[in-house]
Amino acid sequence: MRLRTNSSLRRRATCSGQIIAESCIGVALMTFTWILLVFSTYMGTNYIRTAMAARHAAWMKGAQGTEASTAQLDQWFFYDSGLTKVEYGKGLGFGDLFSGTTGDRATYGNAGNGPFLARVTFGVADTNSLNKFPFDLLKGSLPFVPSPLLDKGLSVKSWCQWDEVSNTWTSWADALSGIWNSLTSAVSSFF
Amino acid sequence: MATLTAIPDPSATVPQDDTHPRMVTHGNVMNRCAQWIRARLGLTARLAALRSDERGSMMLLAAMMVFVATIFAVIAFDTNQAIYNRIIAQNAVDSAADSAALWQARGCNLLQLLNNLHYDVDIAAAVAESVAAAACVASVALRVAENIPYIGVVAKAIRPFTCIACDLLPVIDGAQQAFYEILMPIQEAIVQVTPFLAFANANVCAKGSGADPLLSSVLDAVSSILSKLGLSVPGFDSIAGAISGGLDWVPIYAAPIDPSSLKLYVEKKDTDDLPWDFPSWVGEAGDIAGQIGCSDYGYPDVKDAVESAGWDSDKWGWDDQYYFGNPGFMTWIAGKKKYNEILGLGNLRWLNGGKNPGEVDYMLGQRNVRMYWDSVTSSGNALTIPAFIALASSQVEGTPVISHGDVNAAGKLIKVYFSSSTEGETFLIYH
Repeated sequence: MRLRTNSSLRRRATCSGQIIAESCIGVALMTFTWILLVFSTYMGTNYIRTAMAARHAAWMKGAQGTEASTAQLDQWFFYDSGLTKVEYGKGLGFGDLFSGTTGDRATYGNAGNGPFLARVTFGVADTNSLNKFPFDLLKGSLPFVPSPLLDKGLSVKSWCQWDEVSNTWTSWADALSGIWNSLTSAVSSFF
Repeated sequence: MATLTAIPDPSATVPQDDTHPRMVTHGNVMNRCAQWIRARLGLTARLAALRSDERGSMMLLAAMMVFVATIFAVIAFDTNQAIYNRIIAQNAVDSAADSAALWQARGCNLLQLLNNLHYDVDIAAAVAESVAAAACVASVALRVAENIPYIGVVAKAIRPFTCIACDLLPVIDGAQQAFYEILMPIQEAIVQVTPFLAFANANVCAKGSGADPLLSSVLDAVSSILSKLGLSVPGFDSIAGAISGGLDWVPIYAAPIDPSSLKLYVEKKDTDDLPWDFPSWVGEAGDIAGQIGCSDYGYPDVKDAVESAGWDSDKWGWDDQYYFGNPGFMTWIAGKKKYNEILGLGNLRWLNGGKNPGEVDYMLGQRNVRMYWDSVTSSGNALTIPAFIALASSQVEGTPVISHGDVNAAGKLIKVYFSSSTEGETFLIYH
């Protein structure tokens, strides 16, 4: 028995297959670009927020003598929680005016007696210890992307320095220790 | 044999054979050759198919969409960076102004602490010198009483002790004078050094907060403002660009608009009130009495010793000065420099609207041309992150430096003022 073929089912010599393939590639490319756009604007917004958060953290340390916690900064400045890191360190000294040193030092800690540096980092600062954001797939490494570069792309940070404005030397003890600290700090900043 | 000159027969059917002699007639040679080539290469069919061929169109569309999205991403990034720089400039200048106010407050508090110490020492010296002078006078009385029976025995027993107290009279006066001569230079040094400390610490804080070198920032800002106002100064940009690099070496990241506002507005004050002024007659009377009543108990020797140490025996008592006053407010300036847009897309000339597309080197000269030159904006800085200048004012609050009282000066950020004549008003913030 000879089957009758429907003319509409016959294979037509069109480009539809290639168009579908191109569309798949194009949509994937556009999606990738769109994700990059959204991610970059998202991180750009948070970049601005880190500047405000760093200022507030530094101000709190200098003006009130208290350190803002990451939970507080999350609540005050960021929409996403658990991705913020705040570090305190000793501020730049006189000697640093003549060097290329910035507030973005490699190591923070031992804030001393002021001025204080506060550095706020938002995002994944260390992919090796990643446990949340943004995708678990990012845990690990990407081809041709060394870990520091990946860390740099997944996090934004800002820093701010504030003097110890809460200590205006209202007693002899504060004044004498402050003068001593200032002298030693000034000398050490040159060496 | 066919020849090129054969007479064609109109009724004959022309065979489709390229060897037919009629195909090589000179009128159809070119057409026939073209047909032959098209037939061999299939160009006719391909050209016909090209009209309906949609292959590659999606890739082209996707590439265009990706390009547009990338441009938006770059614009968004540059906008974020511009806002970021503005915030950093404000952070830096606020930190600088607050730091400067802190050091002014510390200077005031140190002066107040030393005033208080000066006050307390003068009180103690006044009481001690009065007691010593009284002891000297008592010594005279006791020395006279030594000649009175019965009473003289007691007087003789007491007088050594009163003379010991009397001997301290020049010591106390000399010590007070020495203290004053040491204290006042220290206070003067505080007054002189505080502005430099305020300036240096403010600059350190500005740099630590991310400010750029101030001079080049201001230069960029002036350039931007002139451009926005449509004012073009011939050669300004080239001169500014040339010296901007050199200015980066000047380690100034923030500065007060009025340099004189850095100083402490304190001055020495003279008064006739105790304990700053202690009358000389007390010491002079005690001195005369001591020379009479305690001459045999070493008073002249003690006085000579104190004199040899630098004390002026002709100046009994004291008429001291102290520092009083308060600092004024300061308005600081700091900024961020102008930056080129990300990826240098502004250098792509084909993004540069407003230029003549007929230029031969249109696609070749891709360097040193900014995006949207003279088209989107007259400034030519559409995607250049502009320079930002931020201002902040600070004020030292608390009790001014007074003769004796609380030590409570503290710095505080306040509204931006430009001069005392506009105090109480926010005049202008440009950033």
